Amino acid sequence: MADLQLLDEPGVVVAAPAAVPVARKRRDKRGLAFWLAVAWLGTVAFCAVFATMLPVDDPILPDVSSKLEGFSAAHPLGADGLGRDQLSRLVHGARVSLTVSLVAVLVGTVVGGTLGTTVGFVRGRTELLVMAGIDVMLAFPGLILLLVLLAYVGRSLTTIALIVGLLSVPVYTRVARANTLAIAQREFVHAAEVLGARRRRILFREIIPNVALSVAAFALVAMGVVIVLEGALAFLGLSVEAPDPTWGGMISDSKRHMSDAPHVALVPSAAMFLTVLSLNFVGDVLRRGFDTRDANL
Amino acid sequence: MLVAASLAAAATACSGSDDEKTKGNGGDGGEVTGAIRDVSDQGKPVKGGSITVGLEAESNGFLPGKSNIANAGTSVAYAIYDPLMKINSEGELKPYLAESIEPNDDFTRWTLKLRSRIEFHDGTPLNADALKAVFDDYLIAPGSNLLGGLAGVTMEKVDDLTVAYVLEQPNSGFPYNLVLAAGWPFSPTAAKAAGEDAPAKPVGTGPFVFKSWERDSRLVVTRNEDYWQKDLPYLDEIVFRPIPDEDTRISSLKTGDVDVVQSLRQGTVAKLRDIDGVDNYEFLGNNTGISVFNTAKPPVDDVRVRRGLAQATDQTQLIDVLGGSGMVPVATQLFSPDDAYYSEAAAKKWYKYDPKAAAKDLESYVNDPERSDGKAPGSPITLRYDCPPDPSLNELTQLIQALWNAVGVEVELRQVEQATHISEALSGDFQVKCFRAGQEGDPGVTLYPIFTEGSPLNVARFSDPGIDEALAKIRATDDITERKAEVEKIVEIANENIPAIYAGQTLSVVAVRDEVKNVDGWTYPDGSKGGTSPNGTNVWANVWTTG
Amino acid sequence: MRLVLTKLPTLVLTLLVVSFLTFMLTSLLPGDPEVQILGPDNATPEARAQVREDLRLDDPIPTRYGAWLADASTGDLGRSYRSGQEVSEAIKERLPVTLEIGLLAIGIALAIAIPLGTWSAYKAGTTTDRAITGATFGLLAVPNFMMAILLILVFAEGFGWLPATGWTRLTEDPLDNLRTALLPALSLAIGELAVFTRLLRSDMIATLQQDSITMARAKGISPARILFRHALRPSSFSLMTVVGLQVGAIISGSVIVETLFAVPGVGRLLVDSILQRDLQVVQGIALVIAASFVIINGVVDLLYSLLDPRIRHGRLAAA
Repeated sequence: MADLQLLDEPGVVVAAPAAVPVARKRRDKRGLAFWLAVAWLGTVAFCAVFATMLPVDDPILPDVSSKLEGFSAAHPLGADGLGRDQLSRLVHGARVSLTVSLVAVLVGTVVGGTLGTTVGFVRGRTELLVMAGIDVMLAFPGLILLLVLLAYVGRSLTTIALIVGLLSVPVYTRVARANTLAIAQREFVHAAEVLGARRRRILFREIIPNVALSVAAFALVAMGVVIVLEGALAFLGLSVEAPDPTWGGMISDSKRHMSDAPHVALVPSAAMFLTVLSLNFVGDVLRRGFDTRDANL
Repeated sequence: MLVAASLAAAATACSGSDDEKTKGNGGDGGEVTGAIRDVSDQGKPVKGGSITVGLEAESNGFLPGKSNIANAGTSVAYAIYDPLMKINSEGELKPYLAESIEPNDDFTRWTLKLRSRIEFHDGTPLNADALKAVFDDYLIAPGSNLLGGLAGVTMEKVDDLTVAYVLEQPNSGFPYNLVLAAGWPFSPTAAKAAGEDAPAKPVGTGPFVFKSWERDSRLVVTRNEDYWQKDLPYLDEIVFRPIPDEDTRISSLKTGDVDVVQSLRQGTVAKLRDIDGVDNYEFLGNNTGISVFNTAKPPVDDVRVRRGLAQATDQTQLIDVLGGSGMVPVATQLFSPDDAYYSEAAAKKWYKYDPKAAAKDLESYVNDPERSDGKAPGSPITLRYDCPPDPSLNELTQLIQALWNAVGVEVELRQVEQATHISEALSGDFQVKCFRAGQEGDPGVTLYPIFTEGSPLNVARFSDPGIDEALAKIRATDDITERKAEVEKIVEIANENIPAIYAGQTLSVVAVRDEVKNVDGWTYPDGSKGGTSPNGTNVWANVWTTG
Repeated sequence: MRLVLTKLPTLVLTLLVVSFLTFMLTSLLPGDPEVQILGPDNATPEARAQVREDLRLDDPIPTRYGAWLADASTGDLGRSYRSGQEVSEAIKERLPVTLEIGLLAIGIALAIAIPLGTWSAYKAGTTTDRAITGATFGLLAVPNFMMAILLILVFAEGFGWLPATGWTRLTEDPLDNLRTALLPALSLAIGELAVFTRLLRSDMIATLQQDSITMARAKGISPARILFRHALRPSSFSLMTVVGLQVGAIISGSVIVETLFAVPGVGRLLVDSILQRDLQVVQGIALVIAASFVIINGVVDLLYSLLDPRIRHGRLAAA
């Protein structure tokens, strides 16, 4: 939960005075690294969607005789503590990791984004009230909420994704509001006002598109954070219930085999590493593409 | 209390079958090591020094009656308190702090004589008055957590150094209660003065005096210069540090941050064997991991289902997944092969891994029009298996689920928090749960709460008049042959009805850096040897260090 | 000062709401405190009834909350169900530990992130920048418990420089305290430094394009001076906000680290108390967390106005 709060970047809000745009060396960032990242993410997404149709072993059926087997023909990425094929569990686990992060971030951005944008635009008492509520939510120890909620409703994929999403709403609200406040100050919005455009039109045509882009770019990074967070949840026993594989669960379960069989920890860690790296990378490049901060407007 | 601790740790696993011929049978005929004692040259005692002990958990307090003291806490307690009675590794019960204990003819009155001139750490003398004050004001006070074992017991002062425990019902094994918390005298004056803080300020007669306690960090005890056993203890100081994570506890031993660690996890025991410069004192006792059935709830209220599941479980695989292959024998009853009450006959009759036979038993239930879960004949059996999310148990429960799925039973795995887990066990809100059961000590004392109706420990809600009768007989006699026969009866009735299936005995260890010596060398005051203590607990008076 | 006065009602309101919600939620959790206190094999119906009576667990929730509130307002947070220790004592013992590790973590993270982020911004677009970017993204991708285990493997078991577990109090032995705090703090710092670096870098890049910077360069001021004297301050807003949020989040975030390193922190106490239904302790800690969050964010707001004259003088401020 802590990590998600890191995405509140009010720095975006600081209105940068107009400046001569510097020659962009950054354009060539969309080079090999970028496309490699996209390719990896594509592979992960493919696995997530088509896991059950892929020709891999059963990820759930134990085979104790192959316990902790290393890389071999039968198990290209080794076998875990119950002898299950790591490759297969990785492929099926992708579904959980991606779904949790996607849903959590979607909920956060849609709910938080709408709330923040509205409140930042409307201002006044509504803003005070809502932000006060958000502050209380942020002050509430997320761990308590998490433990209690999961004790009640059980630990299915959807519940966990929704709860993580809900817990991140305050952060997105703040981000959206901050962005809205800044954009509302910009010349093009003033221009629209001067031209007599109605407030609603300004909101939908000028403000929301710009805010949405910034928030969306953050969202990609946020997905990476949630994927890693799932690992922490698994360690605390709060992730999706067994026997469904999750990357975080695989890493957490591998901890006690680290001295005998480090490959059991390395494989899911590498997958998580590459995915988060790719998400951050792509998000960063996209954000830079859409960042209007140093534009002349 | 040990069972409580074990329950709190909550092992799971159920599986039965396998021919258990002799001690050291891994089930498929393979040899297992059982508990090993791999120690360096001991040399001569050295006075002085300090050791640090890495425990598996923190304790809430150390006041008998008030504090729930588990295995880790018992290790600490034995430094500060002396137990009135103590079991040695052969299973014999002898007086330790007490001088003697004698029953009357029908085992309803136990007269305990104290040694003279022993004082608590605060100077209060250990005498009958003190014992009685402790007993009345704490041990049997309303809300005491010892009321279960001390039900119907009162204490009479006989003379200055003698008390009598008066029992409503005969119990030939009563003194076994005095090995654990009920038998740890503490200073009633100190406890009274400390009031609500008494659990954090234990004052006993033991070899070490309580010095300080930073919870979840360290508890320090220092040498009792006036200890009643002359020339003991050797150590100046012991620092107890709770390190809940198994892997970092092992790391701490490797790096020398701690000198001693304890563990009840088979995987950890295996890893500790492989570390150089470390001595291993292992113990294989009666404590066993089990999957317990709620015999009052469908569909596991039907013995065919339980029997089918027992035969569908391959205990060898379960032990393998727990990390105990080659070390831990399969369990067939709540006694280890080393225990005097172990029954070969019952062991032979325990269920082999036989999926076909399992399928038959289950089929007969599934097709039964009168099946207890009320479902239509032919529909599969569905079960919910609850277990806390302990790292070593996660894999175990998934294996059990797969094994039972293989015979057509649909199993839903449910990870529950410890607190909910225990509450559900008590309220009967479950079908199958992972647990631990079994304890060293007198069967009259240890088996009684497991099979008595209404007892919190009777999680399976299983009782049988045959067992009740056998228990009454056991408690009424001290004739070992007779008792063994009755215990065998109990074990056979239990195993026929299968209130639980087993997942390998608990192999525990106290592992020390080899500068620490004589870890299992405690002796009774008469000089006879004590041996390794069960479940990772330890007695410290006779331990020394050269480091 | 006015800021303090305006924050006070928010503080009180937040504390009330948080404490009430916590009370409600935890009271409705399945699993009974008295069973945890007695231990499973001693939880006979009579014993349980006795303990429930002693602790007034069967009173209606509003009554119990009211009683707690009345006591709490006088500073009496009650006693732990499990250990009998006074809750305020328990928190006093353990909060400094968590805070020390958290602040040390943030300190280490900032000490590395500020130079790294600045340099990365200065060299934006070059290979150096890309390398740093890659490295920081990579650090973000490791779950903190894995980081902790790796650190133990390398520094404790491997080199033997630092202890694998344990904690020495600052008051007892400052040097040893630092040794025991280092690995836990590092486990937390590594993830944080990645975020801090990214934030500072992106803000700094924007700042470096401003007219004032171009002016400074034209005047011939050295790059280092520009970076640290002219550019750093205006680029710190995101960083500051996030640091503020991080400090507030230390307590929950440090649970895993505290468990692995066997450190007596308040995060671990919180989780243990929830799991063992020690509701008194949970209430107390929730209160402390909420209070510290509000206070710290107040401090951050104060720092904003100090850092940015525009804000002080009423111009548009950050979130």
